[in-house]
Amino acid sequence: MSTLAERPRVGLAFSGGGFRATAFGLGALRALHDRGVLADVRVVSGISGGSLLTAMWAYGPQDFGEFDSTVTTLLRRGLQMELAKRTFTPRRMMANILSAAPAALPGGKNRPRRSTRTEALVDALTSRPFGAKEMAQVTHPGLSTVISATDLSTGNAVRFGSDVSSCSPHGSISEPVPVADAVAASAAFPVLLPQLNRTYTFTRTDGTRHVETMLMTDGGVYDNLGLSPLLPGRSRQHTSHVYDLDYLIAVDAGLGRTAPLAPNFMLGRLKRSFEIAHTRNQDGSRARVHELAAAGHVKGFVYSYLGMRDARLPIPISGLVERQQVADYPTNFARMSSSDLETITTRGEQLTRTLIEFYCPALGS
Amino acid sequence: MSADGTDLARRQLRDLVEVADGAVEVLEEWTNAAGNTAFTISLDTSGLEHVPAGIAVRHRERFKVIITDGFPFASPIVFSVHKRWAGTPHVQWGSYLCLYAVPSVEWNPTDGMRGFIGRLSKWIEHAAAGTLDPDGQPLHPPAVYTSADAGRLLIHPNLGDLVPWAADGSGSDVGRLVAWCSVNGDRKRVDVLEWVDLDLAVGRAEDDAFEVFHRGRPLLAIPVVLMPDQLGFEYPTDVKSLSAGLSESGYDRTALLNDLAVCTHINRKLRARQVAQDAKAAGNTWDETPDDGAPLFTAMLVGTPSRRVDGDLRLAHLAAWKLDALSGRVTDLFAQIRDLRASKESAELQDEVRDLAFSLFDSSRIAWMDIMETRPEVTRRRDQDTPSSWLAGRRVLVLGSGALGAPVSELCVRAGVKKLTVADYTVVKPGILVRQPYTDSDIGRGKARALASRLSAIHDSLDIEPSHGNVRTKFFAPDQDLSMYDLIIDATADASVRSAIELARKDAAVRPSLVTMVIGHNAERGLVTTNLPAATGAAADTFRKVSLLAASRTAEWVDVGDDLFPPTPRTKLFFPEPGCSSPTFVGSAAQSTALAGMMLHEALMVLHAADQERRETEGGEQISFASAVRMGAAATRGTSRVSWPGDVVQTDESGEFEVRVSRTALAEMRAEVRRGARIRTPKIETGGMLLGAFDDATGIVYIDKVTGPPPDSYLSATYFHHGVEGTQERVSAEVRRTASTCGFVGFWHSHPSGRAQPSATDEQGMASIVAPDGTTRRALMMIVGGDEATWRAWRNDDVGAQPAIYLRVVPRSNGPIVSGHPGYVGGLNLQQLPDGWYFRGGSGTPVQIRHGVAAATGPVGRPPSWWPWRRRRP
Repeated sequence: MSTLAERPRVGLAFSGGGFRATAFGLGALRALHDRGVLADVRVVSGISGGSLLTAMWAYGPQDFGEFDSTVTTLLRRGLQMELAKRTFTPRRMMANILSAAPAALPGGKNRPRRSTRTEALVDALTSRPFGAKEMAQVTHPGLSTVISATDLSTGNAVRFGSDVSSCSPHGSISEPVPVADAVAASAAFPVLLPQLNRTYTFTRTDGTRHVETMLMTDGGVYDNLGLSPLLPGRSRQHTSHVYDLDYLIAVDAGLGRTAPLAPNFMLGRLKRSFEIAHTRNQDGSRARVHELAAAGHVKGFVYSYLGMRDARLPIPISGLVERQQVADYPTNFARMSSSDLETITTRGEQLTRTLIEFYCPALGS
Repeated sequence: MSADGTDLARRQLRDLVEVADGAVEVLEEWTNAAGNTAFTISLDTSGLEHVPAGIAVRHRERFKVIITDGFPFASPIVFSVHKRWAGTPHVQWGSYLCLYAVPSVEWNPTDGMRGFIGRLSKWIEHAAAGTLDPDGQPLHPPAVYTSADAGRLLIHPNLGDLVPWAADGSGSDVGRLVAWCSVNGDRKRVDVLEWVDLDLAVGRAEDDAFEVFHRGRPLLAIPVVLMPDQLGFEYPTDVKSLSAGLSESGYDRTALLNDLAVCTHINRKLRARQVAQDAKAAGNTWDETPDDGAPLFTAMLVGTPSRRVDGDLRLAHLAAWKLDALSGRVTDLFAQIRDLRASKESAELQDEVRDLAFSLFDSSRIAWMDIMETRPEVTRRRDQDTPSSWLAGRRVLVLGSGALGAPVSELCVRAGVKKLTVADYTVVKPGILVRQPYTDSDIGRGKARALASRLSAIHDSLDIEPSHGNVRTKFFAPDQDLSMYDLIIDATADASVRSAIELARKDAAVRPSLVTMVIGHNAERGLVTTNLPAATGAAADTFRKVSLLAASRTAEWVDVGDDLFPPTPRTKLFFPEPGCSSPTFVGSAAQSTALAGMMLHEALMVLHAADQERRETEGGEQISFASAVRMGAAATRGTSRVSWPGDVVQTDESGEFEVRVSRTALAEMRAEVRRGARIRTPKIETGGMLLGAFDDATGIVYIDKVTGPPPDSYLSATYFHHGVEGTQERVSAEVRRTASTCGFVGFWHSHPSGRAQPSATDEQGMASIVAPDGTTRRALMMIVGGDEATWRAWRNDDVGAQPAIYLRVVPRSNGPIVSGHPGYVGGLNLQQLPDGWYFRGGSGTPVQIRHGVAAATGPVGRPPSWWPWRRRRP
């Protein structure tokens, strides 16, 4: 027992969900900034659309206002058009065709496609200051990052981080990883973007080195909340990402189980299946954190959830952006209208601020 | 002895021999004088590491192993067949090997002879390597074979620097002292109270005014000789060897007899006065003597540097030789002759008696008294370094002597408090014997008195003060000085006592640490709070914080809230004696006593940690603590702990109320200010409601949390007009959620980079405050501000930064009431709001409107450039 008031150690996780997740997460970050919690964040973890926000904050400008405007600028402009332009540059097209053809031939299964629309995303991200940085170059002192993708060849999570980047069956990655690669890999939602291929030198715990090629796709396939690297009780024997945290803040831009039109086409069914898998995953992680909080392993847990039923808020919020107002915003990287941006960020800010006030009042005080 | 045990030992030994391949051999089986079966065994002891300080070990060594009665439950005993090892540590009577220091732990019956031989091998190994007493470890003092008939001696004071040897035990001087003792004849118990030099002791004996009793027991002097040399590893059993040993170290037998005589002289003087003052208390001499004036008994203490607790420091090992009746008598005679006027005859007589004494000594055996050490320098408290050690030497007040207070008081006494006051206003009734530590004979007696007299018997030197009566009026009257206590433990479980303490503590100049404990309705949970001296708040405040925590459904505290702070009072109360007792909890002594211990321990963990940590750091500490302890069915959830830093405490302008703004409320306020600066520019005022409670009994206003400006508020650089939209709902939700613990208290607003003083507009507004429910009850007006540097530091979250705060409790307003009129809550009447551009409130995107002129929605974001940045300063 201690009588010293130590700064709380906060872990922050941003879920996937395209620009919807980025915008909702921005709102949450605004609330955390106002409440004075950002300085206490020790680890930030992101998946897919959340990894974009994670990277923009952790590797972006020091000043919150500047950071805020880089995000809103990106969201307002969108990435989709830029991706299309970058994908269809003559250089990219040639590379894509040249690598896709042998991969499609018999015996070419293990020959990864080299140039894809995901590479165009890497290019787009690299053209921005945060994307050009390496994973270790975090802006804020004392902050660690984790950006998660899924390796299709082994079926394991690939965790890129400021302290260490690793994939559990292979060990830790020896080369410095560009932020753009990590974000692009994490955001390569299988239905929308092809996988990202990268070859890394891995170091095992016993010091031996070996080279592996990773076929990386959206991190949400594995854990769409980005919470699992932050959970207490993880063993250093099984993972390189162990953080000792007092509070967990999960920002989830999911909508929960909605009842959309029955998907009649293959792509729609595929997308729906991924959505269900994500949701199931999230339910598991969320339940686990609640158990951990009840058992006292973490001091507090804030779960800021876009799809939260408004009636379940601990107190009424006047001027609340209701669930209904954001429910049909899609999860892509297309440009956002200013009103969509405003409603989604405002809801993120309102929920996060209120939940901290009620469930973790000691934070930021 | 049991044949079975012998058979078992024989069988186990045979099995060992079979597998040992010559390492263990049984040479002979025989029966000793006591009828026990014994074996002579031979062990292979070749190849042992050997140092000069260790024992010399040959290639094979033989041992006599005696199977005692009770084997395998009692260990065998073992002797070497030779006396080569005599004089080394852990070898007693020349050949007895001391294998087990703590047989109850070290001897395992299941291991039998195998375990025994293993232990013996280890012992030989360590003895050869000289590591039986490793450096820095406690030293095994020499063996002294004592006799309870000779009496027992309790040694309380440290010898410290009084020893004549250096820290490492080296030196050549002999030290001489007197042990000043009190004697309790009942169990021949002698307590050494202090060490004095011979002259002082003689002076006391000859001073007729000197008190000759200590707590009703006669005083007695015993000579002490401290020798720089060790007397070997066993103390002699006859006086001849002892005096020879003392002589060798420079303390010849003449000096010995002289010192004995001086003390006998002292003791005769003391005894004479004791018998004269109180013959019964003076007691009888231990040995029969014809002389009424003879001392109670005659003894001598011998100290050698043979103790080591840890490190290298050599401390005195003390043994007490009680002279037998005849030796005592001769010494007495010698002492009396010494007192005779010096003359040739007396000198001859003295020589004669001395020679007689010496010859008598030479033929006497020594009876060593039992020594019971309580010297702090050679003993360790069984609770050392535990949180309970915080209590040692403290002055403690325990309120309530019931199921919690009585066990807690006893635990305080055991932990060594310096002073204890126990207070209760009730008397012992038959029903409470079920779980409170009183006896049938206590029935009808005040609990505090019954408890104090029982606990006073635990330590001879601790007086416990009982207080029978109302603790509220006795200890917490206005202007009561609380500085006479280091710790107050409130175990009354009485809300009015908590309130009284809250009030007393608020105004106290010195605040002792405060521990408050209550238990749940079925004695499965206990809640204990600790307030450090830095906390102005007491338990009423901290309980409130816990209940709010439970109300927010914090996972760890939900059950505590349901048990201790139920939203609706329990209707099924338990009355043990229906009609004539107050309601109480249902639970057993096992439950309430366990909870009392757990709760006290929790509090002591806090106090202990606070003491340790305060030495390292100042400021930034948590000062109020709460722990919920659980037992029985609830035990699986363990103990929950929470702590708070100090509130921001400030007296309101009227001087009537102490306002306690929680850190959480201040953080919310700052969040709103930061948000305002981010979306509306930093100059724009903002504000909202204060949620908390007024406590008129204690004159405290609690601010638990704050809200932001409702969407229909008007905000500018000079005006803040609080809207009404959603305010009633917000307050109702809070009241419902917290079972009325937290509700509407008042309004706050900011003066960014401005003085925390009400402006003329604020004064106007305060005169007509309307609460969200439309009533005009009193309210607290709070303004946060500060000069540019202060304001910016607070807004930017600089460590320890705080805004300037203005607080005033505004009595029931008597201004024009337009109840529920939109835009009339919180002060300034909307009609009085000057025309111009204003931001609206709310938690969404900033909106600007023009007030007064046809209301039109203005541009979003920055105000138009023609905006008059005019601030009305107070």
